[in-house]
Amino acid sequence: MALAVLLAQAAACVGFGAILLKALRIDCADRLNHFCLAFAAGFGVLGWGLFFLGIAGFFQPMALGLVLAVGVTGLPLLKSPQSTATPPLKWNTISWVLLALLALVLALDVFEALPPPTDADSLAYHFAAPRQFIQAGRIEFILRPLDGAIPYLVQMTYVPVLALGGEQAMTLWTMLSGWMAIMTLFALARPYLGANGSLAVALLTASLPITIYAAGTGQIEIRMALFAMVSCWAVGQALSAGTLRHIVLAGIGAGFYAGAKYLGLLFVAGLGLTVLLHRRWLTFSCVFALAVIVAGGQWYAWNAVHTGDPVFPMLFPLLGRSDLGLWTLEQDAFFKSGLMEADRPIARTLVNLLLYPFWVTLNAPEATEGRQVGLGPYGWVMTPFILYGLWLVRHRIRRGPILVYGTSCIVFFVLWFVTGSSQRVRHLLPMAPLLILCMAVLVRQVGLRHPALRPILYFALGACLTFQLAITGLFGVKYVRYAFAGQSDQQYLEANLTVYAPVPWINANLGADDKLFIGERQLFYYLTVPYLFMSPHTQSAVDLRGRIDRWQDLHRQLIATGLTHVLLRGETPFSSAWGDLIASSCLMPMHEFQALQIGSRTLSARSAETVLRLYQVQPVCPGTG
Amino acid sequence: MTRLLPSALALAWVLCALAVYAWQYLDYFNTVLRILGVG
Repeated sequence: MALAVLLAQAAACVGFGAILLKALRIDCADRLNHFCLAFAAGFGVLGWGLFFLGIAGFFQPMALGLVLAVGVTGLPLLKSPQSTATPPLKWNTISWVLLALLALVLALDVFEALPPPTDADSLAYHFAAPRQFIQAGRIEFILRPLDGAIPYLVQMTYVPVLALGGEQAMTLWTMLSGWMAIMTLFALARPYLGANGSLAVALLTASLPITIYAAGTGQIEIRMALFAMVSCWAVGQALSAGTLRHIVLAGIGAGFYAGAKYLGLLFVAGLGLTVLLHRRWLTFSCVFALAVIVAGGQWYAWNAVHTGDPVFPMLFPLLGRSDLGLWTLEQDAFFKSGLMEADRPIARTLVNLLLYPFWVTLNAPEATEGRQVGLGPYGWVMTPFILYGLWLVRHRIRRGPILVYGTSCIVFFVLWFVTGSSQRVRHLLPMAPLLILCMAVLVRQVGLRHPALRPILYFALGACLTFQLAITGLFGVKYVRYAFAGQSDQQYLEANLTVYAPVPWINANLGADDKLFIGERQLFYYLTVPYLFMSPHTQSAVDLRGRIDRWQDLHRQLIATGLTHVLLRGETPFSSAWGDLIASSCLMPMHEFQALQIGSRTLSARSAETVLRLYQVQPVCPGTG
Repeated sequence: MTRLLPSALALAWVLCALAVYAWQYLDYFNTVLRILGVG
């Protein structure tokens, strides 16, 4: 069943994309390119359309199945009469080796898709939100910054597969959509790099640390790369041929990107800048902006309706509503001065802007996660060749796709850095395929001009691939073991998901009338009882900022918020009031759990044991009257 | 000799860059060796 739903959704995406491309009269000469662009566009169309289905309250299997069926009906439009067969590629031994290695990486993705998901962000919201929406039968507003009140266009595509095919279909869908990003890059690279170069670029991207970290999870960045590629390709075509229909596709693709993540707004700005390169810049930019709004504006409107702030909580002090309960102006200021500052360890100066890629590659600050989830060695090792390649082509740069790819990457990166976004390297992943393509094109120029350097360039590429493939293999060991070890899902989760141990007990012993106060966001997806995230940054209903000295006040807040149980890890957190609350029997111990704290998804040596305690909140306790 | 210089420089750079990059991942290599049973 999972496989059938997976294939149906993939076919629906291609069908929706084929309908869109046909409507815009866009037909790529290359069939593989056309297929990939159709999938990318259709993937966005599916996510876009499901928003309206969701807010109308039609997240039921019948309606979702109908949506996929409509998409599948578009498949016949894919075979356009103008399409020509993909030009034959020149395959040689190297091609087959690269293809075999790529197949190996993709095979590891299959193993990764088999066990239950364990990535924290996926379980906190990428998968948890679609599951919540399906249970409710509609899209619900989640008043939580960063992982609640956000654009969900990509996560919308998880809804049909999860509702119709179950969790396995959803994890397989993340695998397949990640593959499609790699295939699209391969298709776009062929005109510039030929068979071997394109395969190498695809393999490099598929094995980047940021890719292997995120592609097989619910994280959306590699899927957003689909939107980046389709929209940049379309702008490239529009600049070359002066066609408005390509600008419409570019705007739709960029709008999908913005509908998937706030950072998409920076991509829109970056790509919009390249649109201005055409002499019909005014018409082009107006059409581009309109298409962006139509394709990606719905989630911003959704946020504005519920909070007053379309980009919650960025403009909350200016536009936010004052009656939100969980979110106040004071809470907003605390959130921005605390959590957001910690996410920006590198000072935003011009020098650091230039140094950032090297810094996070060679000596990454912890908060950037660049060491484990980084850009790989290719850009660093090839730096002098890339710069020299740029020098070589300085007089031959034409207004075409490659210029758009490069400009969009650079402008996105500059805006991302200077606007004070979270500095985690993985947020750059949507642009990474295009960046690697541009770098490879420049390095190729060096090889063409200086044949004597080619063996060294091949050696450098081979070394980078070897390193990345070794990491990919190391990452995949856990999943291969799961496939052959006969572990149950519970055993696997206890061994691989941080402090999973309390979940089965809580689900069995608490009910729909209870409400759990829990600081373990990685457990949200597996919880079947109502909960509130116990974080000082994301809610103000219960003050966790250490300012409450009297346990009586804390108890009053817990009761007022409707919380019936509290799960605490390790020592009592936040303030002495919590200790007093327990000592005064307002929190009655219910159960104690021994659990594993996982330090790394790849290296099991970093795990450690910890203790969690579940408490029941007493409605009345001594001293509260 | 002069014709070999660009290649020599390029090779020296690549080797140095790879070494600098690999240095920070020694613990990963140790883990790989442990998995393979030779560490």
